[in-house]
Amino acid sequence: MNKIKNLLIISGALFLTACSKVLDQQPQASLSPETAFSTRTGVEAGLLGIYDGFQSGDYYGLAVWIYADLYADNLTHTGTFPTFAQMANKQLLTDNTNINGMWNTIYNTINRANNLIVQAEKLNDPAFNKLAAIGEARALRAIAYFDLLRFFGGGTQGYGKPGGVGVPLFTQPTLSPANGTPKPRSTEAEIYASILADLNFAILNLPASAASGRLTLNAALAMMARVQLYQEQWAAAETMATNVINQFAAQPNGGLVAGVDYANLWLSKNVRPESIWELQYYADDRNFGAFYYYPGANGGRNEITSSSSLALAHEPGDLRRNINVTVAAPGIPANKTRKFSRTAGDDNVILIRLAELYLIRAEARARKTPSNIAGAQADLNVIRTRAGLLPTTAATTADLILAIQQERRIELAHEGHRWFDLRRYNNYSAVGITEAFRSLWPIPQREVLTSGSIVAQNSGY
Amino acid sequence: MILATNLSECPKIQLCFLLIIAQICLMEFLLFFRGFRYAKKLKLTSMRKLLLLLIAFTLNAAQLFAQGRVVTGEVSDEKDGSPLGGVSVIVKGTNIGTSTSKDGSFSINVPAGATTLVFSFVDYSSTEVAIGVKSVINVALVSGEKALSEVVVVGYGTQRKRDLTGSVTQVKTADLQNRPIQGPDQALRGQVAGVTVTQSSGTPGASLNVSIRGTGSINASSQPLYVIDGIPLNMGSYSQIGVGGQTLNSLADINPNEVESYEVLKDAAAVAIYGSRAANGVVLITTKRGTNKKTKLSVNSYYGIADAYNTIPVLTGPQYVALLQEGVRNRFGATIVPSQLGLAGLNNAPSTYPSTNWQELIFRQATIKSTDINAQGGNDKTRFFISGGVFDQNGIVINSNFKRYNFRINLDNTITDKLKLTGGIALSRSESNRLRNDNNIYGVVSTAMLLGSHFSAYNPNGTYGRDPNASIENPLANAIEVSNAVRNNRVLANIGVDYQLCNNLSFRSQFSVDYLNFREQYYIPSTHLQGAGVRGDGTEGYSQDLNWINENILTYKKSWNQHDLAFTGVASYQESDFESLLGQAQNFPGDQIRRISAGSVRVQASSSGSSWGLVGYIGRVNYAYKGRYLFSASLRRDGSSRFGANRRWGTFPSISGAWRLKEESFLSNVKALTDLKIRASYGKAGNANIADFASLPLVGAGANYIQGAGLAPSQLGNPNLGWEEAEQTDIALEFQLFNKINVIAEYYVKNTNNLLLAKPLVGSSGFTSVTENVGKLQNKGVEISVNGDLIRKKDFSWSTNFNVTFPDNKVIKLFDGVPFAAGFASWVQEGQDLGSFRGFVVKGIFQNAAQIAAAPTQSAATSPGDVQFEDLNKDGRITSDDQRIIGSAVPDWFGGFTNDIRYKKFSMNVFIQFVQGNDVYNNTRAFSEGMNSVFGQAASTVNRWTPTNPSTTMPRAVFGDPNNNRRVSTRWLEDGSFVRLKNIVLSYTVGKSRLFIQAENLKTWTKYKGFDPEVSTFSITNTAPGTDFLTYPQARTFSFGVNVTL
Repeated sequence: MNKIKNLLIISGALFLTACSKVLDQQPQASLSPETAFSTRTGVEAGLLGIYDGFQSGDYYGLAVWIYADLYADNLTHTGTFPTFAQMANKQLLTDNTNINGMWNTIYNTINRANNLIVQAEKLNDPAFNKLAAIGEARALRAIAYFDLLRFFGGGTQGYGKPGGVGVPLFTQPTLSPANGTPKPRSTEAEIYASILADLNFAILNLPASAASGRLTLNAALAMMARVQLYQEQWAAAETMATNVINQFAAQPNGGLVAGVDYANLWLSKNVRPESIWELQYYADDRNFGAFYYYPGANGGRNEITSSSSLALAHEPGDLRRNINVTVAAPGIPANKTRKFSRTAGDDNVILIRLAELYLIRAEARARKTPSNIAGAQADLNVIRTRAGLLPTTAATTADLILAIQQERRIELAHEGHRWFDLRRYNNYSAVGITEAFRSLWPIPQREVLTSGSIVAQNSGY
Repeated sequence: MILATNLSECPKIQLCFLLIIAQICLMEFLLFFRGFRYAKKLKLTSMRKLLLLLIAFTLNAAQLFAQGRVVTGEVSDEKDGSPLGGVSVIVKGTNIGTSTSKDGSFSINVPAGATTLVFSFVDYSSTEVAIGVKSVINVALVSGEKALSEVVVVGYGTQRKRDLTGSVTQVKTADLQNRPIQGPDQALRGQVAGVTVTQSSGTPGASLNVSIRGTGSINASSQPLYVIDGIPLNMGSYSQIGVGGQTLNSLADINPNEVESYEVLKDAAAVAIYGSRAANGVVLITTKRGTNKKTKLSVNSYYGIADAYNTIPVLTGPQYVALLQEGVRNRFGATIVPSQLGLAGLNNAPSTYPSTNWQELIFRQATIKSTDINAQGGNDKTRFFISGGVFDQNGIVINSNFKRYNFRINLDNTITDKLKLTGGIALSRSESNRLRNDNNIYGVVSTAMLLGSHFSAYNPNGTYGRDPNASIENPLANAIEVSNAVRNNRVLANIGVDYQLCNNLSFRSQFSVDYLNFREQYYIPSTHLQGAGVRGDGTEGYSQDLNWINENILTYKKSWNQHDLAFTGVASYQESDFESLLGQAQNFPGDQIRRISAGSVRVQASSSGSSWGLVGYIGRVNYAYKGRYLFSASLRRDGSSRFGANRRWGTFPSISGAWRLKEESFLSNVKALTDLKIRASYGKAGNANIADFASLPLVGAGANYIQGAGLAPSQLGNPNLGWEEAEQTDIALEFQLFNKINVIAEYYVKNTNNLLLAKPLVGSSGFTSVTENVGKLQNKGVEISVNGDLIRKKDFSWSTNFNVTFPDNKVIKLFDGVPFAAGFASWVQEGQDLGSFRGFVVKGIFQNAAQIAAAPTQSAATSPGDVQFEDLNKDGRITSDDQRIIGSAVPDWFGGFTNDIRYKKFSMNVFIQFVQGNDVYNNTRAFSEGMNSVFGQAASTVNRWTPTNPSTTMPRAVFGDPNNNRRVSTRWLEDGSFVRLKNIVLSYTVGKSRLFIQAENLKTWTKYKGFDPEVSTFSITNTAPGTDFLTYPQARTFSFGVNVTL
C-alpha cells in the first residue's frame, strides 16, 4: 500500500511540475519585433525583406509588368483566370482578386520599408551605414508609391494633371492594429511630394555601386528621371537622365549592349552598364514569369501570349521582333517573349535600364519648351540604330512624340510600361477603352469596404 | 496501516471515522474548487502546492479506511435462468463494485453502512437489492427497457441515459457494422440529429466536414473535439504540399470496427466540461474492451466494387471544335480563324476531329477490401480486446487509393478490489497515393473536365496527347505519371490507474499520447509537362506531432435516503509539439531515382516547429432526488498558451436539470406513456482552434533576397486575444410510448460570441488583418429523433430510427459590420447565413440589339446572345454594386432514416439520408459552360444561343467573354437538395455468423447537375461551404462479406 501511495504522489508531483511549462510556449520560426531589428544584422536582414516584397508575384515577380501589358495591347489572354480576362477585356470588376493582391502586397512592402526606416534610425553601430540603409529603404518606398499611383492614381487625362487623385499615404510603420486605422486617399501631388522627398534623400545617400540587385545611386537617379517624366517635368527629367547617360555616352552604342547581343540582356543576368537595376531571382527564390507565358509543353500555364498587334507593330528588320514575339524553335514556344524564358523561375526582372533613359530624355527634349528636336532625334536614334533600324524620320514635336511612343512600345514591351504610357499620352482609346474612368484602375472593393469608404473608390466603378 | 487494522476491529469507531473521512473528502473538494476561483490571482506554483497537498491528504485519508463484510451470490437471466457473466455489481452510492464471472457468480466487499446493491447489465434493466443482513444475494435480471437502462459515456465518466440532464446521443458501432466506411466521422453521417457530416469529395482518405449544431465559427475551426478513450485527437491535415482543395483527414487513421460506441455531446451541459475546445461539440469515441467471458473471436471481412454513379455528358470532338470556331468568329469577326489568335490546330473542318471522353478514361471500377479480426475475453482479474485489420480502398479515379493497417490491444487488470489498471495501445499505418484535385490545372478530375475532347488520349508514338493551346496536362498523365505517396504512422496509447481511496471517493489518473508521424513523397517526372522543363521535380515532407495529456480525476459518490450526490474533480494538462521538415529538388538523372538527393538543383529546404499547451481544472456536481429531480452543474477553468497574456484563462460553466415526470403519481395511470422527461441546460464552452501564436506580434524569417537572409513583419499582435465563447441554451422533451417508441424533441440556441475573427485592416496599413474577438454568430434549431422498436417477435422484428434537424444560422456581428468575400461566390455578411452566396442576378439572354440598347449598359462589347444581368440598384449601368445575396448553402432541414427489418434468418437494413433546401455554387459549370476559351465543354452547350437558335437559357459562345457572361451569378447556383439511398444491407444469419451483401450510395434523387450534390471544394471550410469546382465525386459501392464469430 505504501508503495502505491508513494508512486501516486511521485507521479502526481511529476505531472504538476510539467504543468507550469505547459502554458509557456514560444514560436520557433518567428521573432518578436523588439528583438528582430535590434542588431545590425537584423536591420540588414530587414532591408533585404523590402526587396523580398518587390519580388512577390503580386508585385514585380509578375503583376506589374503583366498587367501593364495585358490591360493594353501587348498581351493576349490565352489562359484560365477570369481575373486576367477582365484585364484583357478592359472590364475590371472591383473584386478582382489580382488587383486586391497587388494593392495589399505593395502596401505590405511599403510597411516593411516604413518599419526599417524607423528601426535603422534607432540603431547606433559604427559598422552600420545608417544613411545608406535609410536611403535604400526610402528609395524602395518611393518606387512602391509610384507604382500605386501609376495604376490607381492620377486623372483620366494622365498623370501630374490638376485634380489628380492619389492613394492613402502611410510613412510610419504599422506596429499595432491602432496604427492601421484607415486613411483617406492623399492627392496625387501629395504622393509625388513624398516620392520626391524619398528619392532625393536616396540620391544623397546611396552608394555608387552595390551588389547586383541592390539599389545604387544610378538606379535612384534613373527612377527619379522616370518620375519626372510622368510629372511632365521635362527639363528636370532631361537633366536627371543626362546624369546617368553621360557616364556611359562615350561607350559603344552609348553604353547599350550591341544589337546582336540584345537577347542577352535577359538570357544573361546583370548585363552592365545597360541594366541599371534588376531584381535577382534564383531557382530557390523564383518568379512565375516564364511559367505564365509558356505553354504546357514547355512547363508553363499558357496564361498570356504576345499579341498579334505587338508583332505587327515592329518595323521590318527590327532585331527586337523575335525577342518580343518569339518564333517557334527547339525549346522556344511561339508568340512568347525571350525576356522571360526560364520555367525554373530564375529569370531576373529588369526594373530600369539605360535604354529607357535615352527614351526618357528623347521625350523630355521633344516635349520641353522650346523643344530640342535634334537632341530628341539623337536619343531616339541610339535606340533605333541598336535595333537595326534606320534613323527616325520624325522631325516635328508632334511626330517625335508619336515616334517615341511607338519606340517605347517596342523597346519596353513585357517590361511593364505600355499601359502607363498610354495614360501619359492620354491615348487609352488606342486599346479599345471608350469610358474615360477606366483609365484608372478600381481601388480593391475590400479596401473600400474595410475602410468604411474612407478610402474612396475611383469614380465610375 | 496499523491504525486501519486496529480500527477495523471496532465497528462503531470505524463508522465515526467514515463520516469524518467523508467530510474531509468534501472539504478537500471545496478547497479544490476555491483553487479555481483564485487560480487567476495565484501563481501556478501555489496551485500546484494546493493540488499536491490535496493528493497527499486524500491518500492518507484512504489509508485510514476500514474493511467491511463479504456478500456473494449469482446473477441469472430471468427468462431462462442462464447465468449472466459481466454483470456489474455496485454498492449503491459508491464506486465499490465488481462484475460477475462467466458462471454468474460474484463476491463483493460491502462496507459497513451500505444498504443496497445495484446490478446492471447491458440490455437488462438494472435492479437494486437491499443488503440488509444477507450474505448471499441471488438475482434474476429482466431484459428489455433497453433505451432507458442504457449507459452512455459522458465527459470524465458514464451515466445512465435516464439520468442525463444534457444532450448526448449515442451511436453504437453494432448498428454500422460492415458499411464500407473509412473512419469514425463517416460513421456519424445521418445518424444523429443536429450533426451534419459533409463528405467534401470522394477522394479516399480525404477530410469530412462535421458540424454539430451548425457552423460555430468563422475563422477558427468549427470541427468538434474528438476524444478517443480520453485522448483528445490531433486533427486536420499534416500535409505540407498543396494539391488542391481536398485535404487529408487524420481521423481516417482510426478503424471504425474497433469502436464500441460514439457519444455525440451537443448541449452546454454535456460539452462545457471540455471547456475551451468544446464550443463545436464533442465526439467521444470508446473502443471495445474485454469481458470476463469466454473468448469471443470474430472475423469480419468484405469485398466490394465501386464506381462513379454519375458522369457529366460532354461535347464530342467535332462539336467542341465547331463551338470554338463559332466563339472566335463571334468575337473577332466572321473571317477570323483560330490560328490568327495563336490557337494552333483548330482551323480544320470540325468533322475531321476525333473524340475523346476523358471521364471514361479516368473513372474505373475500383475494389474495396476490408478484413478485421478481433478477440474479446478475459476473466475476473484481466480482460482484453485485441484487434487487427486491413482496409484497402481503391479510388474510382485511376491511381488513387487508401490503405490502412490497424492494430489494437486494450487491457484491464484488477490488482486488488481497490486498484485497477487500464491500458490501451493502437498502432496504425495509412498509405495513400494522393492525386492533385479540384482547383488545380494538374488535377485529374479537373483536367478531365477542362480538356477539350478533340484529340486522342495518346499520340501514335505512345506519348500523351496534349492540347497545344491549353495549359492543362492530359488527365492520364496527371494520374499515372505523378506520384504522391503519403504515409502516416500513428500511435494512440493510454495507461490509467483507478484507485478506490475511500468508500465514496475514487481517484483515476490517466496518461495518454497521440503520436503521429507523417511523410509525403511527391515526384513529378520529366515525362509530365510540369516536370519536363525542370527535368523532374521532387518534394519530400515529414512532420510529426506529439500530443500528450495527463488527467487526474477524483470522483465522489454518496447516496442517502432518496438523495444521490456525485462530485467529479479533474486536473488536466496537455501539450502538443509539432515539427516539420520539407525539401525540394529539381533536375533529376532520369526518373528512376525519386529521392531528392538525386536532384541537382535544390529548390527549397525548410524546417519548422510549433507547440501549444493547455491546463484545465474541472469540477462537476450531479444531484438527484428520488431519481426524478435531476440537477447538474459544472465548471472548468482552462489556460491556453495560444491566447494573449491578458486573456490566457477562461471559465466555462454549465448548469442543467431534468424532471422525470413519468415517475410522478399523476402520470402513473397514463399507460400508453411509458416514460416522460423534460430537461433544460445552459452553459458556455470555448473555442481555441486558432494558430498557436496568433496573439503575438511576429517578424517572420524567409523574406530572402539575393540569397541573403531577410526578415519582414508577418503578424500584428493582440495581447487581448481570448476565447471564442459559445453560449448555449437547450430544452428538450423526451418521451416513450408503449415501451416501444422513443421520441426526443429538442430546441437549442447557440450564440457564439467573441468570435476569433480576422478583423480586416485596410491593406494600405501593410497588414490585411489582425485576429480579434469581434464577431457573433447564432445557430439555433429544432432536432427531432424517433427510435422505434416497433416489432420484436421471435421470427420478425422491425426497428426504425428517424432524425431530422431544422437548422438556422445567422451571422450577427462582424467587425464594423464589414462583409467579406470567401471562396468563389461565398459572402459573409451580418444578418445572413454563414454560407451565403452573393452575385449578379441573371435576367435572361439578349435576343437582339434593340433589347441591348433598351437595357442598362453592361459593356461596350455586349451583343445578342449575351447574358443580361439585373440592374439591382437601378443606376442604368451594370456594376459591382448590382450584386446581392443569391442563395445559401445552409439547408432548411436534413436528417436520416434507418429501418432494420429481420425475418427469421434474413435481415435488411436501409439507411436513407436527406438534405433539403440548400444551394450549391457549381463553379465547374462556369468553365464547362463558359464557352469562352479552349476548355472542354459540357454537352448542354449544344443548345447555346445562335441567331437561329434563340435560346433563353444558354448564351452564345464568344471567345474571351467580353460581356463577362461567366461572372458569379445565379446562372451557376443550383438547388443542392437531395435524398440518397445511402446504404442498404441484406444479411443471412447462420449460427453466430452472418453473410451479407450491401450497396452504398445506391441511388440519389436530386436536381443538381454536377457529379454529386454533397460536395465541398474547399474541404473543411466555415465560410465557403457548398461550392463545387471539379471535385472528385463519391463512389457507389457494392460489396459482400461475412462476419464469423467463434
